Amino acid sequence: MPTVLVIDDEAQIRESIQQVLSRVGFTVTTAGDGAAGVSDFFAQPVDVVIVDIIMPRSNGIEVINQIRAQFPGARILAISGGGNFSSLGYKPGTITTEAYLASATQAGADAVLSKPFRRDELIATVRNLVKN
Amino acid sequence: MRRFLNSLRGRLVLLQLLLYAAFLPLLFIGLDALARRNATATFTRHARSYATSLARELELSDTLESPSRTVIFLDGSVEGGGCLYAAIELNGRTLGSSAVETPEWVQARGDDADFGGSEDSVYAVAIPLAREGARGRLYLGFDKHPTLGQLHQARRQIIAALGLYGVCSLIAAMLVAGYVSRPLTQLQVASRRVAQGDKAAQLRTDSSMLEIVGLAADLENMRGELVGAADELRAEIGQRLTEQAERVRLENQLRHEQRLATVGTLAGGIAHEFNNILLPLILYTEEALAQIPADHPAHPNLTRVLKAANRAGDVVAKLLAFSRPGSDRPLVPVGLARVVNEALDFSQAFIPPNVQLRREIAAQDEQILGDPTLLNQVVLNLCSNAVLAIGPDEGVITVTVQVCESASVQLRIADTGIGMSSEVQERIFEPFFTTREVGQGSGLGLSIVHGIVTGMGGQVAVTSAPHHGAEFVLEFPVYRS
Repeated sequence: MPTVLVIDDEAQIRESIQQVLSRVGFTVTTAGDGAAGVSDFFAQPVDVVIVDIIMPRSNGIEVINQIRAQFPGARILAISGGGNFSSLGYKPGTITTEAYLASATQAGADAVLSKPFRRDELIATVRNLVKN
Repeated sequence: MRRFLNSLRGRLVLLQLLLYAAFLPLLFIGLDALARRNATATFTRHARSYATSLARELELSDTLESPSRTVIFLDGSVEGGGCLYAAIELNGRTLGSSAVETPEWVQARGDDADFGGSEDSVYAVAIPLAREGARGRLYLGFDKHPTLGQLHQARRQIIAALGLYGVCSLIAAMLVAGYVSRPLTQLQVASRRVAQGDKAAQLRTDSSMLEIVGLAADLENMRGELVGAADELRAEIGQRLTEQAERVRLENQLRHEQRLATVGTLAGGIAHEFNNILLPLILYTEEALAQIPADHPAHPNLTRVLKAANRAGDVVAKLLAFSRPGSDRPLVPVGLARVVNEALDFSQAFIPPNVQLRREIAAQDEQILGDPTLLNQVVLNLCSNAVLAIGPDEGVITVTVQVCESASVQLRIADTGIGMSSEVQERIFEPFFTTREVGQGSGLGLSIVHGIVTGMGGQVAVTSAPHHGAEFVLEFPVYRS
C-alpha cells in the first residue's frame, strides 16, 4: 500500500487530504510543520511527500531541499495557495501561487498543485507520482 | 480745473501768474517813476531856463526903469512862455502882468524846489534880479497840467504795455508748456501700453530736447530690462508651476501605487487564507459526494456547496491576479494594435446597438512585451465597463492605439458615459471597490486590469468627471528586439 506524508500547517487541509487519499488506498500520515515533517520522513520514508510551500518556521522549500539532499529519489508534491509572503523569503517580488510553485519545482518538487485543487486532481497526481 | 492745475501746463501758467503778481507792480512802479522823473525834469529845466533868460534880459535892458514897459514885458512873458502868471518885485514894489492876475501868494511861495505833486497845478519859479543897486525877484508860474497829462498818458501806456506783455507771455508759457509736455505725454501713453501688456510698445518721442531725449532713452532701456526680466520671471513661474504640477502628479501616483500595493499585499494574504479554507471545503464535499449515491437527499445540497466553493475559488483567483506584481507566464513580444483589434471584434458580441464603437488604431508595427490573453481580458473588461457607464442612452466608445513620444505605446479607451468623481477615481483600481449595486459586479475587474498592466511594465490611469465620460489610458513600453 503506497504511503503518503502530508506536511501542512493547516489541520483541516492535512485531514481532508488524508481522508481523500486514505479512501482510495493510500496510507497517509501527517505533520504540522516543516521540521516535524522532515523528521518524520527521515524516520519513516514514504512514497510521496505532499508539502505546503508557505508555513511558519521551516517552509516548504526548505523541506524539499532537506529531503532531496538525503533522498534524491523521493517523490514530492508541492501545494500552495499563493499570497504575498515575500517577507518569508520566497522569491522576493513574486507573490502568486504559480510563482511559489515554480520555486518549488526549481527546488526539486516533482509535481505542483495550486490550492484549491479538486479531489480527482489530487488523486491522479499522487497516483501518477507513485507509478513513476 | 484741478486736473489742469496739476498738469505741467497748468503749473507753468500758475507760476507765470505768480511771477506777474510779484513783479509786474514793481515794474509798473519803476517805469512810472522813470517816466515821471524824465517828464518833470524836462519841464522844470525848461521853466527855469525860460525864467533865467527873462531875468537876464531884464537885467541887461532898461525895461525895469519903466513900469509900463515892465508890465508889457511881463505880458509878453506870459503869452510866449506858457506862464500862468509873471510878476516882479523890485525894491519893495511889485508889478504883475496885466494879462493874467497875479495871485497874492506868489511872493510868499517863492521858488518851488521840485515839480511836486498833482495837488497843485502851478510850478513857481523865483529868479533874483540885480541892476545898478536895485535888487528884486522875477516870479513866474508855469502850468503843470500838460506835463501831468503826459504823465497820466505814459502811465496808461505802461499799464497797457505790461498787460500786453503779460498776455503774450502767458500764451508763450502755454505754448512752451505744450511743447515740453507733448513728448512727456507720448512717453506716458507708451508706458501705459507697456503696463497693459504691450511689450512691443517702445518708449520713444520725437522731441529734440536733450533732456527729454535722454529721459526717453533711459526709460526705453529700463523697459527693455523690465520686459526681459518679466519674461524670464514669467517663464520661471511657468516652469515652477509645471514642475510643481508634475511633482504633485507623481506624488499622487506614488501614493496611489503605494495604496494599491498595500491593498495588493492584503489581498494576497487574504487569498492565501481563503485558499486554505476552500481546499478542505472542496475536498470534503467532493469526498462526501463520492461516498453517497446520486439520489441521496444530501446530494443536491452538497453539489451546491461545491459550486459555491468553486465560485469562491474563482474570486480568490481574481484577487490574486490583482495582487501579482509580475506576470505568471512569460511575456512575449505582441503587437498591441492586433490584440486590441481582435478583442474589439470579440467585444462586438456584447456591445448593444445604442453604443457606437470607434476604432482609431495606429502603431500597427509597434510591439510590447505582454500576454495576449491577458491583454484581451483588459480590453474586454474596459469595454464592458464603458458599456455599463453609457447605459441605455446613445453613446460612443472610442478605442485608440498610438505611439507616444516617450517610446511607449498608448491604449486609450474613452466613453461618453456617466463619468465618475475624483473620489471614485482615487479608489477605482482597488479590489472589491465598486459603484454598482450589490450583485452587479465583484469590484475586481479594474483591479485585475491594473495588476495585468503593471505586471507588463505598463501604467494605467483614468481621467473623468461626473457626466462627462471617462477615459482609461494604458501605456506600455515599446519592445525593441
